[in-house]
Amino acid sequence: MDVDIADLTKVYRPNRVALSEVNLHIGVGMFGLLGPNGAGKTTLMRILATLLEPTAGRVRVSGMDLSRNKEAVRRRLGYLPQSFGLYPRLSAMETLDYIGALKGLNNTADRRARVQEVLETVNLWNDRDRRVREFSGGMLQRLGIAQALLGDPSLLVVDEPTAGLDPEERIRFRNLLSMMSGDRAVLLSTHIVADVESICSDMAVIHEGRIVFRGAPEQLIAGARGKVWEVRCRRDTFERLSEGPEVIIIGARNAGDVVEARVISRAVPQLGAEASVSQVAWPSLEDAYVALMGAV
Amino acid sequence: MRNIARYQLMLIARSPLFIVAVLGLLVIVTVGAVDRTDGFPSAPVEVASAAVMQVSHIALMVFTLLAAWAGVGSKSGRASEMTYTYLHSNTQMAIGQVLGLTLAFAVVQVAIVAWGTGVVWVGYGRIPVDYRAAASLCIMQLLPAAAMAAGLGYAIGYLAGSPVVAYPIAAGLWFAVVLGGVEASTLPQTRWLAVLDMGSAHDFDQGLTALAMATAGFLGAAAAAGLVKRGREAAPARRRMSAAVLAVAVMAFGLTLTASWVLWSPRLAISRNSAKMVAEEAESFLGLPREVMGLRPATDVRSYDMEVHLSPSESRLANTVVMEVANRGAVPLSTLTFTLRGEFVVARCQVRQETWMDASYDRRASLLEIKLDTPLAPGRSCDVRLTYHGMVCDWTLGKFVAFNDELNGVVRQDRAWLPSGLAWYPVPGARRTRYAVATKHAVAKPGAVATAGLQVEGPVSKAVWVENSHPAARMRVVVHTGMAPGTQVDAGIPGELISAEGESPVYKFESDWARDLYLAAGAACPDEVELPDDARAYLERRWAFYESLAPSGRDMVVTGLARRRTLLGNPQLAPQGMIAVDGRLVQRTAKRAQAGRANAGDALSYDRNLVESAVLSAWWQGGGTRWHFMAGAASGEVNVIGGVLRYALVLFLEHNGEPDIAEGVLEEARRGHESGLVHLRSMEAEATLLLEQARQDRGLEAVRRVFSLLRAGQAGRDGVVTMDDLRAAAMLAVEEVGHS
Repeated sequence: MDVDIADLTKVYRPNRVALSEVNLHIGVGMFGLLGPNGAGKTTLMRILATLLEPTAGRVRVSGMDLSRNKEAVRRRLGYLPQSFGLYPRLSAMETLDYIGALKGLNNTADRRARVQEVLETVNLWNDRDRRVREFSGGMLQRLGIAQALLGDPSLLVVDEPTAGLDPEERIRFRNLLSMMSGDRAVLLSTHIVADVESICSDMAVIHEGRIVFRGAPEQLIAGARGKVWEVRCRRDTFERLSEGPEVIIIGARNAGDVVEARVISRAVPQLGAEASVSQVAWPSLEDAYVALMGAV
Repeated sequence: MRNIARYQLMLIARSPLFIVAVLGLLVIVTVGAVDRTDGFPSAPVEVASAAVMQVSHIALMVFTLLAAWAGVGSKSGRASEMTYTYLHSNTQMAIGQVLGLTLAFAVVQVAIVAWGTGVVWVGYGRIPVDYRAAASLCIMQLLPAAAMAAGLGYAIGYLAGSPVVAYPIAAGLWFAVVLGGVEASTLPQTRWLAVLDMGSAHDFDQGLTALAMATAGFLGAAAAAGLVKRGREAAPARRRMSAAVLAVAVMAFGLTLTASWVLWSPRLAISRNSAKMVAEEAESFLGLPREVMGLRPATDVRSYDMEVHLSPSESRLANTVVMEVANRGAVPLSTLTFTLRGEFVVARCQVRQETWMDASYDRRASLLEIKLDTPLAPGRSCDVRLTYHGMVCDWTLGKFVAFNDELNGVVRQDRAWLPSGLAWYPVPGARRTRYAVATKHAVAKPGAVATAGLQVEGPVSKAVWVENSHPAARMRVVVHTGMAPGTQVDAGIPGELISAEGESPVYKFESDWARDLYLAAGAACPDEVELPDDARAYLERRWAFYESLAPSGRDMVVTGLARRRTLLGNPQLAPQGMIAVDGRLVQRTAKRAQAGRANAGDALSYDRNLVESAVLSAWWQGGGTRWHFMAGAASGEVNVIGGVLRYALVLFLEHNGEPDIAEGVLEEARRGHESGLVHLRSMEAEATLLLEQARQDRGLEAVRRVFSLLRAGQAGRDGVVTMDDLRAAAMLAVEEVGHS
């Protein structure tokens, strides 16, 4: 399974460019698509999910032109949109049984078995008879991924799945995604860097409709090496630093009269003699992402 | 598709909106059914269906809105985003969901019928349930209506995609169908469109109506599948399929409407012909002397001997009738006057005074005047033989609200009824067409009614074909039904099957008194019941008074409507002198009267009216007619017998020392006359006030005379008193009282 995106452009009326000549190749495994809100992630996801027609360019899924083979692509596709609704008065079991029928699982016994399998996979089997309206946010997301998995898809498109989840649920969910990615391509769209950092072996960063980075997370991190600094200085000194150009504050913590901060800067921050500055040897993906987006 | 339907059914069934709606409908039906159990016992399904039909339009609106809600939910909302990536087609989704909604609504409809029937069954003393009637109601009316509401509502919701837009459109469509259906059914040119409205079209062409409603639902589903979100259809084959389904739905719906148009077009032509005939008839009756008119015609028929040949497929009738005709007037008759429907062609007319001789005759519209070579002296009789034939379709579309079976009795392939309303055999005197006579008298009687040689299965319907006859005439009729051998014929009244097996059914009806044939249909021969003394005294007091007003010469027999017995028949059709009442109601009314607690309001209250109706209908037999609500365009077409009887109540109250209550009843009539909000009520009130005016002018004797004239004349035979009848009787009475 691979997805080949070539010169993909999507223009909404009136002349709002959501995607501009996007080129990507996505293979088996976890692929993270990182980008700020409004960057074009969801548009790209919806095109891949056969819900939107591109204005220009081409998408091939396992060699098939998506626009001409929607039916075949849908047979291989599992899609979890950023925001989705399920019927609150159905139980988890009923919900998946219904969706299974819509996905073409016509044999009742096979469908039931598959529903059981995915419910166990997402750890909701014990809650199968509970109404969906009684589910927590994390359980809903897991049910959402369960519906996406029902057809045993080779391409899983997941759009902003961890938004709004508490840390524990988020960790559980991304572990689940990671588990899913064994023999299928999983495209995870998110603006939460930690999700990509934790589970993706391949990634892209999209900004204002364009791919601004494509590679492994380590490559993005490597690009930030030498630009991340830890500083400790007086408060007034730090305020001068934060007002200066070419510096991005990643984080700052007050410690009495002094401030301990993590900053991104091409050059060594000039803070005076009383301050201590040390270079961070191993920047995080977040550092690298911020550096990339801030064009530092 | 099956799974989609199943889950849609599950979803709607779990919706609080749906549950609230169902409970609301159940409550309304329960109230309606319980309310109806206060009256005379009727078949539970009949009463329940009346209660259900009363809320049917509300139910349709609720269902349409719920379906619109489901349609909106399917198209918009967050669920649809990922749903569109699944593999089902639009057609599967739309039809599946509409099927699910239809099932849900159908289950509710059936449950409501079952519940209403149960309520009536318990309330009326467990009268047997006619399951076939219940099934017919559900299958032919309620289920197709459910499909229509589901399909159209879903389509509206799906096409609109927003509740703000969908609900007003759905409500508007509902109004258009309901109000449009009523309008369509009253306008001859648009009557064919009434198949889209369950309420206004259910009496006729049920199959077509069911089909029209079902195809409308299918059209809605197909429109949702074929017109919306075509872009999501992944495969061209699927797009073509949804387009094909839409085309089939449009074609099916169009064909149904076309069939309705084809069905109604000839009826429209017949209607226009009937209207033309009525106009000609009115013209021909102008200037006729009073002695030949129906009120007291000199021409009298003592017996009929008929050989009728029906041809249901052609709606034709051929008859040879031999009549013994007498002169009951005071002067010799040189012309015998009859009324025979104007469309009939008289082939031959013979009179026997000494020997059979061909006689000349005049035909003007429905007037038949036979010339006698030798005048017939008063009290003498002669024989008349008449051979004639013609069509028997009566349709006056737009003239009546109700289109009942007897109007087109012979038109129907499976019926052998003869028509009413227009004289299909010679009726003595010149009798203007009395459209108000046309009313349905379907008295459901479950099970079989065995009579000599005839086994009638299923509901027995009252015969309507003798209602225009002379009640005292001896009657012998042989009816060749013209139907296929072995056809189960609902002959309307019990007769004797005289044809051999393998032949077209032929029935013989014979009686010394024409009305006996009619009454036999109801088998209204319950045992005399034991009434408490006070109740019996109350009834006897009434009976004695009414008998003194215009005697029938018969003794009163009180029969009870036992709650634990099968239906005993329509009390208004009971033989003269037989009063069918609910004993408890009579007792209650009597006690209230004795306690002096009655007032004008009570006098008009339901229970008192019930007794009043029972007594008066026995005293003044309604024959084939009940004073039902039928809007007439002119005073000559409205039966105002209710107003006449109401004046009898006024007299009774005065006679019993209750002048204040009597005045209250009159005041009620005055108010009804003035308000005129309901046409019929206004006309009835006018009749009451006309009698009051006659009394003011000429005293009570004039009123008594009016009652006697009406009872002895045409009105006394068929129970229809038009304002023209009443005015003529009042004029005659005033003259007679004046002379005396």
